[in-house]
Amino acid sequence: MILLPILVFMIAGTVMAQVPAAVPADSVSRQAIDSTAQSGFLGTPWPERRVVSTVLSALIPGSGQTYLGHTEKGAAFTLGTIACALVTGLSENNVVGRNERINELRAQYQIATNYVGADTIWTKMVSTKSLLDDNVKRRDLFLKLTVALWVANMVDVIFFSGDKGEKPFGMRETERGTSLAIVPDSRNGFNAVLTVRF
Amino acid sequence: MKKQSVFSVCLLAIFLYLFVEGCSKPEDLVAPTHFTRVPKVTNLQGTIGVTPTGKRQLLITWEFDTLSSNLRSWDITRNINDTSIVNFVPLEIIRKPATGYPYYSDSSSTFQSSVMTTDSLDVYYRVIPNGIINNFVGQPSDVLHMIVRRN
Repeated sequence: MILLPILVFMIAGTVMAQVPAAVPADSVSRQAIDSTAQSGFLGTPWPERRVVSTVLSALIPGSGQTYLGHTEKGAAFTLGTIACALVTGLSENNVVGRNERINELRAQYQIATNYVGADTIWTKMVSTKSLLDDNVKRRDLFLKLTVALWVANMVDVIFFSGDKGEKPFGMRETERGTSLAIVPDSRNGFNAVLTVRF
Repeated sequence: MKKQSVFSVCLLAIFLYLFVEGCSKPEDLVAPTHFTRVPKVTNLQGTIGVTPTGKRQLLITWEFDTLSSNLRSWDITRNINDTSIVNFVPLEIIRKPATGYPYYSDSSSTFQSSVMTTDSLDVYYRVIPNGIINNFVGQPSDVLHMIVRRN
């Protein structure tokens, strides 16, 4: 847990190191800034897309990889981290609920007026505590997994994910309007294609 | 771009801090006190004898931890030919004696040979201690089983 803030500041420092310092707009062109960006890890220059991908991955694990063109890897990181975080959240929710239950049973136990009643409450408390311990174990395990995936995602986006270049997204090249066409297809014979461009 | 990066990293740091440190600590169990709030009934025994007047008598004796002061009395409960716990009938309250160990003498007419309709009776006794603090009813004793035969 102590390493976490150090890691955050290390990444923050890395990101800050990659961002070009503010320069007068009239003295250096945008192209010049990109070509003379300060050296990043291992002394290689970092263009703006690398910085954006690092920030994206820091916020949503896997999104930086997807941004750089590694869609499958990015999806795997995103889904893995979200799944682990979800299990962590559910387990934490159970921990909170069982803590409340134990508090409630403890209050009942203190005011019990007979052995049989107190023993019944005690049995419930022990059973709830056992479930609580299981929930805590599961929560801690998946919390560590989430953090590990997040760290692996950051290491991957900084060191191992090359930029595949910007890809045109969606149907930006298509003209506005609606069209319906019958297109020949080698497998199905013909396909009906409805295109709507807003 | 620089401001955006700083903002993102700060946001991430806050999120991770809340994520990791926001986890609840598990509650601990309290130490169980109900076992020892009132001293247990130990060494519960019974003997079948005869009163000076010739009636059959069942004498129940037991022991308790005399070092504990949280004890007022015992409830004597009895069940005949039935082992069900819920059917035990309270008979009498025996107060804690100033000295020595307590006992209960049962010379009910049910046990007299002249009244018995069967060859034998299965009699079950259970002793329940009562505390002083909060009138806590303590742990019931084990069931004492006695067989009364007709002469």
